[in-house]
Amino acid sequence: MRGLMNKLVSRSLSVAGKWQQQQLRRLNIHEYQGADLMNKYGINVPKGVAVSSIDEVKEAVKSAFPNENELVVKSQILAGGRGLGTFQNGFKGGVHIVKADQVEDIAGKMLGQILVTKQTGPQGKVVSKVYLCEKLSLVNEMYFAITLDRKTAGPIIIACSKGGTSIEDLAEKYPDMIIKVPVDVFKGITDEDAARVVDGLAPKVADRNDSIEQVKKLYKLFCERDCTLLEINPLAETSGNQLVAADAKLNFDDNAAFRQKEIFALRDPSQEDPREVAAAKADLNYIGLDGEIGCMVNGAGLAMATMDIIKLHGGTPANFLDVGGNASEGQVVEAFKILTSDDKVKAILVNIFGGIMKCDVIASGIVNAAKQVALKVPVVVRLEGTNVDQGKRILKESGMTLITAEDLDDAAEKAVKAASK
Amino acid sequence: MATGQLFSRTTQALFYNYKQLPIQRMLDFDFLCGREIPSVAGIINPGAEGFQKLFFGQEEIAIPVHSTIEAACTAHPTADVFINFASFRSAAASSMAALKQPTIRVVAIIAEGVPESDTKQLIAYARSNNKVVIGPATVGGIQAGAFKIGDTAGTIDNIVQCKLYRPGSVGFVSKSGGMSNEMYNTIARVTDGIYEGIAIGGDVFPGSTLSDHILRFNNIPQVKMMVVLGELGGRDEYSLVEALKQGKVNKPVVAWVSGTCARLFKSEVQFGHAGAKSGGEMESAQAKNQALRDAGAVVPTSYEAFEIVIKETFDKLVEQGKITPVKEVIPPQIPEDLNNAIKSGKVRAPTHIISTISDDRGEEPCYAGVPMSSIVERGYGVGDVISLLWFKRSLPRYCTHFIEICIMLCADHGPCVSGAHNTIVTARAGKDLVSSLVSGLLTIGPRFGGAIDDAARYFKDAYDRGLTPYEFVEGMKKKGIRVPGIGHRIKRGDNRDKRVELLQRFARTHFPSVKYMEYAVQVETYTLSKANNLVLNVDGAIGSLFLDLLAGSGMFSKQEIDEIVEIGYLNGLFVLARSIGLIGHTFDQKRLKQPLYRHPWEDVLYTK
Repeated sequence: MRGLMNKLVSRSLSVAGKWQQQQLRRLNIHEYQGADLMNKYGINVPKGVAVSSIDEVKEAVKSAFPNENELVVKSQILAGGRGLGTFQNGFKGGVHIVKADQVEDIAGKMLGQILVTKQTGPQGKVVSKVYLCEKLSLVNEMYFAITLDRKTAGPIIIACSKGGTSIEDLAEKYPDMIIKVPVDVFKGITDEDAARVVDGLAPKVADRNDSIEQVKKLYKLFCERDCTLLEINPLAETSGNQLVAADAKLNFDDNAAFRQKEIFALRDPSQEDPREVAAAKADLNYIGLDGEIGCMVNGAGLAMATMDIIKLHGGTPANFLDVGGNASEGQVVEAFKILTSDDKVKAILVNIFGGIMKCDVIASGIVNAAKQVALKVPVVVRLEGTNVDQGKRILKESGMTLITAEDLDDAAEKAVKAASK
Repeated sequence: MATGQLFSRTTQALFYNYKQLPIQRMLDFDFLCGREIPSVAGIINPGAEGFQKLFFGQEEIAIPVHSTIEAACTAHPTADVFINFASFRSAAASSMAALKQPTIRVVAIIAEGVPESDTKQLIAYARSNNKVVIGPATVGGIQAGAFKIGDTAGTIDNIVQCKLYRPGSVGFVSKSGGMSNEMYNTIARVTDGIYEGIAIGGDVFPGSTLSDHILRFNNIPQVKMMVVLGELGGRDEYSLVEALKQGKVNKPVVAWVSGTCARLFKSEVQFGHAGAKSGGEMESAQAKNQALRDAGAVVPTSYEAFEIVIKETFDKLVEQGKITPVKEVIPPQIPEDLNNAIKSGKVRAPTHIISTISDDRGEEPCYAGVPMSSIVERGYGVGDVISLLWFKRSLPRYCTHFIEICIMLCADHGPCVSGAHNTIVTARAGKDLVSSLVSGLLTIGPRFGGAIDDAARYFKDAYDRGLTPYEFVEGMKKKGIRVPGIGHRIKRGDNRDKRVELLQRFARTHFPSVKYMEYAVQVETYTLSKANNLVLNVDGAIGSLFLDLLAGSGMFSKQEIDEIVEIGYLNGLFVLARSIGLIGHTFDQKRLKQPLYRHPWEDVLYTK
């Protein structure tokens, strides 16, 4: 009994972590939102209620969990490491298992507070909701995932009769227990496919037909909601002989945002980097990083090459910023604003190759942008491509104190030097 | 997936979703290469049919536009490349429709942001039907001197600089389209140039992969070496590693994987391209570079050294005698577009239209040089606007006020006059506003409303020649012409037209001189002595008073006044004014939901 208890604690803590390990540019949704979504598809999930005030906590405990002795109280933020996090008010731990009469007290210490975890950075993230969950007793843990596969050009279901640790660990420890079932992208999942998956999972107590139905429902969710990854780990069996998605990670295809309005409406901008929110508004491709050299580049490929070279010269990029192949002057201005508002940025490197765009257009964009934004740090510019001479002349005649560079290597070297001054 | 060349100098494409610039760039490239037929056979623009005019060298050609993919493929059975410029929302559906056409072999998808599950279907279909998908999220590709997809390689200047108008010996493939432009430049500097270059696109699941194209290049005899630019994220580069290890590639491969900086960052970072995210160690740029190096590819130590190792590899092939020297050709000059040439001051061309009254090119429209904001700020009325647009000058307020009074007085004259009647009949026939309006306007002429100009003309002529009213009226009578502006169906000498009185009172108060009006009154006095209904009517009043306005305001030369009377400006006033009433009658009939009008038999005299 004691062992099970410990296991539950650690489970709850890992639940908090794993929901959150999603990539930056993919839509990230809160744990309670994911559970709610699965519930809508008839997938068994632990019973839970998301609340945002003490009154709601009282109400939820009374109406949703009248017979529970203990509940799990989870801070809802879009970052991992919640269990081991610390609130700025000193309260320790973003996830707690407590007696029903203490829920109010614990939730009160979380709501509206800033939780700092190893993934949030020192500024932390605000907890505007806590998720109250029933405490499950699990008798078996398995692994289940659906993703898109390169080789078979379609969805593939991965299942393992062991679960609870990462798929990498499972692949190492139990390579023979992992089965992969490709699904025909045109036909969709068949009863045979689902049965093969269930046989691979080998549930101990859950009904086979019920389990097949659960697998089909998971597949339905994956397809209908344009997921790129749906990972249930563990897919667990409870002492009540039920198959339950005890913890899940859902990634959604950004490209499908136009037809998944409901899902993308779940976005929570209060949890995002304000620099990235501003960039998204200007239709710029921006990712904030920790370095000291702000980069403004056209084209994702060139941006990557630029960052590589900065690193090669001993500098660190402060961001990834792709203004796109057809950037307007307005976008260049916005880009400069975002770069200059970042205190960490000690120098700016502008690297443009005029393929479709012409260098003279870009150069006048830079000059006009610089007029609107007070430039406090040195700017290194490298221009190459169509009308490069006109572009360089515009920069020169602008009277701006720009450092011009001959090639990418030279530009990176000058930027690193300028940033270290 | 095809195993050899995808394109040739006779390859033709169908272009989905009309975009003028990329198609023109393709045709300009064709001309640069000396192709005999344009590389775009047809355009598909859903819901539209006809032709689009574009330039093929100096000639203008009409490229057929079809409303469906099926129709385009039937019309152009030899066009086997489908270039899809559809938005990310519809790109998957149109690409699938194209792949299903037996005549289509290659589909290039430009849109960025096609849902991954949709792309999967395209890949699965293409694979089982031996077709090639390039993209999504790509600029496309180019076979030097032969065929180019859309915006590949950018402007013509860049294409010329990169010598893409004639084939070289290097096969190039990358994920990034922007970087391919930069690499074409690099490769042209240090080798004899590109034979074929493909950008597979930045998505997680590209329709065709780096290794697909490298294996294809390996089968093309003219390709002597290959250059690959990869990116962190995904495992695509490893299928190339496998191919190299298995000895499937027997030409030198120079490769670099971008994104080595990603290790600096603790969290997962995605670099613009959907596929370019830092994931596990295997997907890192470092690991991929090392694996490629181990498999026998030439891998530099940094991106900047890429150019050097490309040069070294090429020079070695030259030493080994494996490169046949490329025959250099001078590409023809693309005729410059007239608009650009004019802008740069290189040519001049005569205009076909001249306009002097208004200009819409600036920040706000100007009427005769007066900007819209001044017109509003100075509180101008419609009379002032008429004076600007018709007379090209700002007339004194009393003049423009007079114009406004004329318009107000002539705006309508009941439903029975011929103009309103026509409008009412037309509106009741269910016709639209413009038809109803012009139907009424068409009645305006010498018998209805159109007497103002004639009245002005004859009064002016008579007064200027010093004819007495007697001489004038009798002279007209001899010629068999009724005096315009005199006579009314109802009004009499003892029951004057109220409108005439209003106009005369205004003019007497405000006009510096009313000599023409006085003359008209004298003529009226004489005609009234002949018959009681020969009063000065509203046409005559306006006509004569306008002469006073033109002559008395001091704003017009004698020549200008003659011209205004000659051209017939004054009827313009009546047309403009009565339009107000005719529009009102149209709305009135529509509002009243009046049925079709049919004239009653009883009201017609049927006779032989």
